[in-house]
Amino acid sequence: MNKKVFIIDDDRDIVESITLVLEAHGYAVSSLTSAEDAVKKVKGAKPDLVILDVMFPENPSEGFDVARALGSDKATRGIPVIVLSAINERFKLGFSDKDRDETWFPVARFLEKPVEPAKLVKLVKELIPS
Amino acid sequence: MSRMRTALPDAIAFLDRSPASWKEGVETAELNRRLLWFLLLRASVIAILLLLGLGKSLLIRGLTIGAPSLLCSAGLLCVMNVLFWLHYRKAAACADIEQGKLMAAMNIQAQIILDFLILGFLVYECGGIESPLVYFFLFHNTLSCLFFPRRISFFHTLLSVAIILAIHLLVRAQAVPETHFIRMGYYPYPGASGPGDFYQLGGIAFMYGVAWYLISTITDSLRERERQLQEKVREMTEVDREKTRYMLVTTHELKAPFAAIQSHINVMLEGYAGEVPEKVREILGKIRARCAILSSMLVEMIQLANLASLKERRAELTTERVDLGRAVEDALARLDEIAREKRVSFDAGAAVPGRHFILANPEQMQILLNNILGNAVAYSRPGTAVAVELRAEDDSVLARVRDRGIGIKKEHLEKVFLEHFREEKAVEVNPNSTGLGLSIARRIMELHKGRIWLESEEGKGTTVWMEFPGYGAQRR
Repeated sequence: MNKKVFIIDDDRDIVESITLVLEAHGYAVSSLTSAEDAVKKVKGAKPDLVILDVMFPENPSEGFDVARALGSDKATRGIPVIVLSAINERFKLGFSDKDRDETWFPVARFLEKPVEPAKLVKLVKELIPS
Repeated sequence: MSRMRTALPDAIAFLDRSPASWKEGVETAELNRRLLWFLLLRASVIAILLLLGLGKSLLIRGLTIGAPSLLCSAGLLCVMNVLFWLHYRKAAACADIEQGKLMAAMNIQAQIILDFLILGFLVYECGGIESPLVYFFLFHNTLSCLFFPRRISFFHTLLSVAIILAIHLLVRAQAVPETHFIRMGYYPYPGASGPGDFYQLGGIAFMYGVAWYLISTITDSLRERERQLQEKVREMTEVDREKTRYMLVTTHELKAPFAAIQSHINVMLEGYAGEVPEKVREILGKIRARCAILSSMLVEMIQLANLASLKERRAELTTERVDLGRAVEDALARLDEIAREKRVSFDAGAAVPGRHFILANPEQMQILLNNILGNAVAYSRPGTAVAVELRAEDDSVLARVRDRGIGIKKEHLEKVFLEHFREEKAVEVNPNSTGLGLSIARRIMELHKGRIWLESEEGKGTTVWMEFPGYGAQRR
């Protein structure tokens, strides 16, 4: 059975391009363009991996909140999360070291936008080997 | 001498059990300090009373107060001190911060009132208004003016005058035996029941009243000024936070569309959307490169604007102790992939963590090192090494980044720090750069009260020197 990837990003173009790449590699992709009820929807979709944006229109750090909520919920705790953001580490406003601390913020990896297909596929394969 | 000077702060620090939140507001921090100060002051009074009680006749000849009174007062004060200390610990450990502060304020109130009662007893035992102890109420009254509203400090002043008056009236009414400070016969003294005693009493009350009025008026205006200052600081912090948030959102909003375009192009170039003809592939590559430049230019322009605004506002940098060796190590790790692609290696044996510390803003150090080391990689010749060295000077830390790259013309060594200035050769080797990296680097160094300069030989390589004030020098 195909591994399931769940994308949460308000940028439809990014969702579209990631979906195209991952589907070509045999992953079943579903997505959400708002962070509202994200945890509930992830629970429903039961994905093997979540790709999560950081900044959403109503809250510039909503992605962090969602990642923490996923990490603290029994049902979603084990799902690896890749955080995707247009703000890279070089300009890490709002990305404090605390945000990257694994014990406090359960995120498997950070990935910077624009997405490089080869890098993304390599990372996904590494986190959810088929 | 210096040990004596630090004895009181050291003792206060030893007793201090206040939580961090008490140190945020000046008023609570001072309240806490004075509470401890009261405990220490009482400890010295206890010591003096014990000394007097045990060796009164040796210390002050003719003193009428009996040793049992002195020793009882010392004992009572000692018990009070222990109880106040225990209550203070309870207040400091209180989970509800506001409740804890209220408990501390009540603790001080109780200390003042109980001290007044014991002092009243000692004043009576020492001869009432003829005793110099009648003025000792002033210590508490002054502190009360500093920490409590005027009506409370007025109450404390009133209470102290009332105690003095009550003692005198009780003596005059012969409800209690008359006492004297010094035994009659040692020094001539008219005694408490002389005709001038009411004038003296009036003088004491007047002095207490005037002292209360002056001190409470001054402290009221100081308190108001402090409140205004705190309000200003709060406003400025809020503006700074809002600005940071605005920058973050702006950068994101400006970068996001480019990121989406680049993602689509990446998908097309890697064939996920079908076969791409060679000519189209070439054009898409150019679009992607331009997008990348625009995108990083946006970030760098916002960084530059932020640094300029910090300088204009003469705003204080948020700094902390930064391990420069560790920061270099992190920056090299981030550049590792690009360096490997360019076949450039790093020689950072003289820049190891744990040896060189500076007081700096860690995020800006990250930007600075990324720019300088990124440049060194970008302009190096393939197969060469970039050498990074850190060295401690007298009061500073010197960093040197040397590449074996294209170098810079002598006449351009200062110009390259100008915004957007780029040498033709540099554009040829690294067309994707924005020409803002060194301007940003210089501004960061200026904000850190450091220096940055270049040495270069065209065609042979460039050395970047950065001088940071050392951790100790900055702290001073």
